[in-house]
Amino acid sequence: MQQRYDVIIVGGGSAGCAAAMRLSEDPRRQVLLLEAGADPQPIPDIVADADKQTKLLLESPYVMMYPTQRAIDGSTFYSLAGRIMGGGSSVNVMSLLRPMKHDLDTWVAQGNSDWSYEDLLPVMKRIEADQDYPDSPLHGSDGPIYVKRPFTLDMPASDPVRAFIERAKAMGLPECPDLNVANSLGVCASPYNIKNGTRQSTTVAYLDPVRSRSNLQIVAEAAVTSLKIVGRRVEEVRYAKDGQIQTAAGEQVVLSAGVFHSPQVLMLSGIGPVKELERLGISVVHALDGVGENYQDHAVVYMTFEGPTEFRADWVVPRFRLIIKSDPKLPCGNFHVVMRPPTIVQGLKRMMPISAHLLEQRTRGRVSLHSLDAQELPGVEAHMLEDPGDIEAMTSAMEFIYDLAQHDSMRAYYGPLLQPGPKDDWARFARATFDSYHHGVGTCMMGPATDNKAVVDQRLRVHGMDNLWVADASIMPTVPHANTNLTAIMIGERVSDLLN
Amino acid sequence: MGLEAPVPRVYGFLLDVDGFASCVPGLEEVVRVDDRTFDGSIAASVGPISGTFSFRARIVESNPPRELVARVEGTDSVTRSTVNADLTMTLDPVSAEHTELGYRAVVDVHGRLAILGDMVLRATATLLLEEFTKRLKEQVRAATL
Repeated sequence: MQQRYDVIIVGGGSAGCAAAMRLSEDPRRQVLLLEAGADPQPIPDIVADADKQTKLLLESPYVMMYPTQRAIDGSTFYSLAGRIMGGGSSVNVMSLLRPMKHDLDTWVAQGNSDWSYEDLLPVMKRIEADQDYPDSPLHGSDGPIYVKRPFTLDMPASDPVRAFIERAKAMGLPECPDLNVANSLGVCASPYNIKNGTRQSTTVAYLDPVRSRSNLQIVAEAAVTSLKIVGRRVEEVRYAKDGQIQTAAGEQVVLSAGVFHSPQVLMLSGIGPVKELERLGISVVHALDGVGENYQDHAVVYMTFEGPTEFRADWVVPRFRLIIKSDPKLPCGNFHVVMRPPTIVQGLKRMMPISAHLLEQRTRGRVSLHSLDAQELPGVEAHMLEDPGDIEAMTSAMEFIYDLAQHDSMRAYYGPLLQPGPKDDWARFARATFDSYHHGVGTCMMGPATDNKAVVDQRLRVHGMDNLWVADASIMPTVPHANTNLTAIMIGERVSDLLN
Repeated sequence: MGLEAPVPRVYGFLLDVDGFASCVPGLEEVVRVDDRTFDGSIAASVGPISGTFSFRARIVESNPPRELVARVEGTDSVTRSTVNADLTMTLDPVSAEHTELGYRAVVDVHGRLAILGDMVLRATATLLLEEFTKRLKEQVRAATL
């Protein structure tokens, strides 16, 4: 006989694990967590060891790659997502940055009045155990996620790092010892969820401590294929497990499958834009134009300088970043600028890159279905760096990097600009080479029903449905000016409040 | 790029596998397979990741003596990703003793290496080509003297 749950959570990622832990705190509530990826126990070293981050991305089976085209020349880059318990939090670079206050102000202005900075600050505080600011009114000290800034601005640093920081300060950037203030700017010590060298994913911080709860059932390698919908209610969740399609029934269903797969599950279930559903022969159960739309991400462009011939192994780049405004009139910092370790190829000059990460996107992309097969990855159209304002912002940040690196005080570490060339068309270079910062959001946008692109209301319930919620990065109306993992966790926490 | 040699001589130099291989920077373990093909490897590190790119290069006459293509198929030792590249070189006579060399590369990466994407690969490819043509210029001039 099919088991019935009070809550079924589809997707054990950053949001899903947080929601599963919070919602199963009440022992009377039966919670089922379905995760498409594996749930390896113990967590493999390549995932757990923070120093193996690059190796994890390049070698592990837990990273999904979604080919995405650049408009200018049709070349391909890859949007990424984690497919493992913990989702993005199990494969990301472990930066734990809050959204800026300006981001939440924007969400409020778009009709989500319950998502103000003041409303969300208690949620952000309860997530964290901040090691550096435990007594600050802005921070929490006893939440599940360990937060620490491994590099602080008063620490000793190698000569090139110190020169980089001093040069940035000389260019007018303030010191920003705590990046997780309301609107951070300047030379910032970055917070990370790394404890004693170990990744503190939502698997580790939220799920592992509560796995023994008898009211929490966790099923991994269970990819949800569709929802059976009758009227305004989800009656069943269908998922593939061990080669069989299985079903589970729940009073409440929360989609936390991420920015690519939450809209995929909705569309495969007949919820989405009519034209898109009809194109694939899917019966329209509930027309919602916004499903899969409103996709946004952060574009990254690398400036590569010639490195010094003499290079010391202890010139390690610590975990800090610059947050700058490409235009002083902007309400908050709109770029991360990151000093990168060198690339060394035998026989070539040493390459010293500095990256510019645009933290906003004026245009909108979309996620769409290639087929009715739930196992097939959905298509991603990013449309990054297509708006003249975004391109202008990027070239402005590139000019900032050029000014920073080509100053006399930096000459010992940064030689001539190799790529793009000083006389190249930097806008074209940016549009032809940008990559993703892997912060895709927005494909099940939160907003009032009067907004035809809104998929969920501000209580995260799907418009027109009685027992279906979406809680992950897909509900973000705009991409935050920050790495998105903490915001996704915050959404998982938030849905647990809303269902409670 | 201007080369101090007539077009046929530059073309002949590039068509010879030993001459071509001698212009590739950082090359290790070169094995001549036949008159137009060689195997080699290049060591590289990106931040904390170090590996070797092993490849087979085949020189293809596409439009003698004005154009040839070097077709490279390789695998990196870390991610086992495959990289396929077509380097097209065009030779235009500037005078009886001078040649203008043009070049363009189309690189296709399959596998995890693509995650490093243009952030690293394009800069590396550009520098490789720059160094290749610099060495070619020197070697052609030396052969002419």
